[in-house]
Amino acid sequence: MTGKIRIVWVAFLLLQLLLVPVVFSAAPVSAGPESRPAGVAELIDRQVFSRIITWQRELQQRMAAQVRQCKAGGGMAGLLPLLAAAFAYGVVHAAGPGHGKALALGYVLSQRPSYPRGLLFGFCLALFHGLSGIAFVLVVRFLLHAGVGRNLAAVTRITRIVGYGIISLMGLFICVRGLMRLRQGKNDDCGREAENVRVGGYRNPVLLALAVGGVPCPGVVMVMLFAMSMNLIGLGIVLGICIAAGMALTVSLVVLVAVSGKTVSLSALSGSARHPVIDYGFEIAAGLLLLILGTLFLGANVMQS
Amino acid sequence: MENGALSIAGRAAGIAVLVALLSVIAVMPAFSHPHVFISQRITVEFDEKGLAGFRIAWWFDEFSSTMMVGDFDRDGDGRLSREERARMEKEASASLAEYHFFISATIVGKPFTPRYVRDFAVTQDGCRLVYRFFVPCHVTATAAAKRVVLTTYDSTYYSDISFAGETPVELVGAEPFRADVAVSKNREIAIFFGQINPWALELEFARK
Repeated sequence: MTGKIRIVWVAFLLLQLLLVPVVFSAAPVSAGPESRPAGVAELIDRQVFSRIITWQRELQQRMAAQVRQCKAGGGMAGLLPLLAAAFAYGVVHAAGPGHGKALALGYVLSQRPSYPRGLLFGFCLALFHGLSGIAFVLVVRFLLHAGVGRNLAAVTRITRIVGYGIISLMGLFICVRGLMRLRQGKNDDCGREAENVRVGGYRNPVLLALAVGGVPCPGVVMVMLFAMSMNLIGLGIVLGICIAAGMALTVSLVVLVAVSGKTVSLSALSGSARHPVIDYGFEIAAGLLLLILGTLFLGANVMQS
Repeated sequence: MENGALSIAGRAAGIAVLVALLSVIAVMPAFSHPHVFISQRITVEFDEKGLAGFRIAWWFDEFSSTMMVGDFDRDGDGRLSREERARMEKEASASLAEYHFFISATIVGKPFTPRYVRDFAVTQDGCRLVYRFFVPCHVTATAAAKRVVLTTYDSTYYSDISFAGETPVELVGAEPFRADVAVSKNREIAIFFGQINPWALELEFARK
């Protein structure tokens, strides 16, 4: 990587440091109001989030109007902007919290995939997340004849708990493996490959993405239901796929950032025989962080009624 | 070529930066960010003694409205019959009560969270679902101005509540008093991991 890009990249990473106090100022275990004065970093960050939320709300309104137009017979002319809006909705929606970004990151850290593999994982994760939203609606409505909204809230809570559980476990695996490698790495190199096989057998990106992306996306569910309420189930499915594609784009970007970041940062630090130790040290720290955060949010969700 | 001390510091900084990056991305969890958008209007009602309470109306976005109506619409005609509406009112007010109707207020600095409301009603305004209810809040007016702040927010941020663009707030029966009302973001409360400030209604009133 050229010098200029490296500088920009490091600057970008340093900027993230500003956001750390914001992030750690949260107290996810309390469900009540939290009082704290606003700092500069917080104000900037809140603007970004508010902007994303506003975009999402406006996109939702636009999509609703466009679906009505299609129903009224807008034809192909009305369809394309609607598909584009659905795609945009997916991109923005996934930029918000969740949607497998933490897991994509965990995957990148634990498996050290090449760009194609990492992107495949991120892509599949978001795609399955969207597709399972479609499947969820079809199953609950047509097979179970039950109310989707009510079930959605319950299913969302359960899948969130499962999701955090997976994040925590993944963090634990990464942490433990990093420690084991650290011990091994100090002696011989041959031990490393054996470790790979023993700890963490989740090599296949598509399978892992399927297991984790099985969580239905509430955004997709709502769009599906809306289209179905106008007897446009085919359109609903197509919109769901567009949203999933948009989400896949965002998550893939995150994977790209993560894979590049690791490569660049580590190469920027290279220079001596201690490189492997730093490598594992980073993995251990990252695993620990995922473990702590995963457990924190798991606890918060379990405690919520 | 860096000397030993610099490269150690460099590596430490590099690790710190990477961990920071990780924490930023990783901490945006699968916590629900808003799927429901509520547009809110509040009428501040006075009686002869002073403040009587707040009449709140929530318009749900089209997607959420369709989903929620669909849950109760037994005959599938898209409209809620009287029985369907009654069932919805019962369930909705019960589940909202657990979250004290998303209301957190202060009356002259003292916190107040409603446990119950009056006149809870569900209607359909076109394709949008509307919840209406009255929050009793009796505060006697004095010569000295009293300040009441009413903040509405879903602490889980599954729902986003913002004020409607037109006539977000109205005063009823305020003629005997000097009353000022404003709508603004409550910077003292931050929900959703410190990312969002909820909207609040600020009322100041005194006897003329």
